Amino acid sequence: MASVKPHLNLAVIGHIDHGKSTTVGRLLFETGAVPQHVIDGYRKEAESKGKGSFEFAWVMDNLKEERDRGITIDIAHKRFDTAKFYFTIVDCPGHRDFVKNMITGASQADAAVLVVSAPDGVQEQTKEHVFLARTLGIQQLIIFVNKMDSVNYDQKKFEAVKADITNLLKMVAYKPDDMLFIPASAFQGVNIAKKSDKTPWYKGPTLLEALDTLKEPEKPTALPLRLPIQDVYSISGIGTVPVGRVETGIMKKGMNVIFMPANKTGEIKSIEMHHEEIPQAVPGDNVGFNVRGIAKNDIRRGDVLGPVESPPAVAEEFTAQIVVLYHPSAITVGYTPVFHCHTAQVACTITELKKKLDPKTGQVKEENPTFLKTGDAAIVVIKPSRPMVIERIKEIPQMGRFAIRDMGSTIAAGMCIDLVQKQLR
Amino acid sequence: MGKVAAVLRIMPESAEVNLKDLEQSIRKKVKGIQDVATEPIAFGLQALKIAVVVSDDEGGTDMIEKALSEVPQVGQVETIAVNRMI
Repeated sequence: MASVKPHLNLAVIGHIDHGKSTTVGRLLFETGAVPQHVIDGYRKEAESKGKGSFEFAWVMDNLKEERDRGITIDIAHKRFDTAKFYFTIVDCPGHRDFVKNMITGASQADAAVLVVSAPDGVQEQTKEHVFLARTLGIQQLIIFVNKMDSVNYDQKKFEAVKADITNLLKMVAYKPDDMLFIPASAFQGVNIAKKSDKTPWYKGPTLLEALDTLKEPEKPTALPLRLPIQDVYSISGIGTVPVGRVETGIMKKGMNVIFMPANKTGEIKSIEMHHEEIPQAVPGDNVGFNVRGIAKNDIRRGDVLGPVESPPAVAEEFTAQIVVLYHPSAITVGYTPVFHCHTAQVACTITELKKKLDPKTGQVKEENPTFLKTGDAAIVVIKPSRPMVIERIKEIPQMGRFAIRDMGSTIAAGMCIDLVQKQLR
Repeated sequence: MGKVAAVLRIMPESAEVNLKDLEQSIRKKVKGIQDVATEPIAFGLQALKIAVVVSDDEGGTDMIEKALSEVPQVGQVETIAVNRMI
């Protein structure tokens, strides 16, 4: 499917049962992105049975059946077009154990639709997902207040839900005043592609119009080069070849680089992507490159490459804002789970619980709390058990996020807000 | 619980690993692989990409990552995309 429109990755987030699937189905349906054979199948069945009003429900059922027929690497993605953009939907799994994949994975979302059910309002996962969206660096949010049909399109109900979401967004330093809130029903198709007479009090855009107000994010090429190492190879006739994805900045042939925390320097001799030599690599590029002056055993997965003039920061300790997604009992000072940050996995100790935050207002609820439990958001101080690279979220957001895992479960997600740099030289 | 389509990238232990053989041993060890492709990386080095469906449940892609890592000649295993299916 060739398209000249700019492309955006769109995450669909929200509490389970608030209608994410129906919203995604409706988006595909209204934009003509449902596979033609599904529509044809519907027409055939409608002709033979004479039912016409359940088109959308029928299409949803058939999309569900589609998945059982097997997937390919390509159609693991859902795509649709609006007037201005073409979108790939990143439909985030609900279970917290997928959070690690979202934080360290490749498909970074450029924007998100937050689905909140009007009758149910803000729920546990709504809070989690808003925090995660923030941690994942998603700047643009559209708030889709779904299931308005269940509350008779009552404006008061919409305003009440909107007020709760506004508080939640403020807590993680989003700017809800700049965001669009849409009263809608994915099931009935209200305010998705067309304005509805069911909400005469609503003057804002439909969901499709709102999607066209999004901005195409720029690649973070102005930031210093950061490339976390995925793997290191020694290839005969070539030499040492580290492999990884450029997160920020530009890597150029001839550049003098440093690997941290390994603290080894070298020179980029050549860069290849998909087996073709390229003069430079930009954010999002998966590359292998040959470095002069580095042996295979000098560096390893979890090290980060940067320019010699602006080396990646190695943290002696760091301060982070975290949200506890799940912990069987309580997190206290001394707790040492594994932190997954870019390609690094490092055991880190929580050395101080500074503040507990109130999820409703974003205000400090408790200074120096004695413990944290599931659902708590907090500011904590963390000490890595061995040197690791992490950057302040304000400076290099792509390098400031992490997931906390322990005993096979995802415990928390967080972002680094400050750090004490280790002096290596 | 819903289902999740996951795409994983499997890096071989070295550039000399035969990817056809590696695919065979992976298919033997992990059931339910729905699609496999090779991805050229650099300097003759190739990776395998696989598509699988897992349930949106406890553990995420841990089990499959672990199973794949235990296959001989597999280097790093990385989940590069997870997407809920309608």
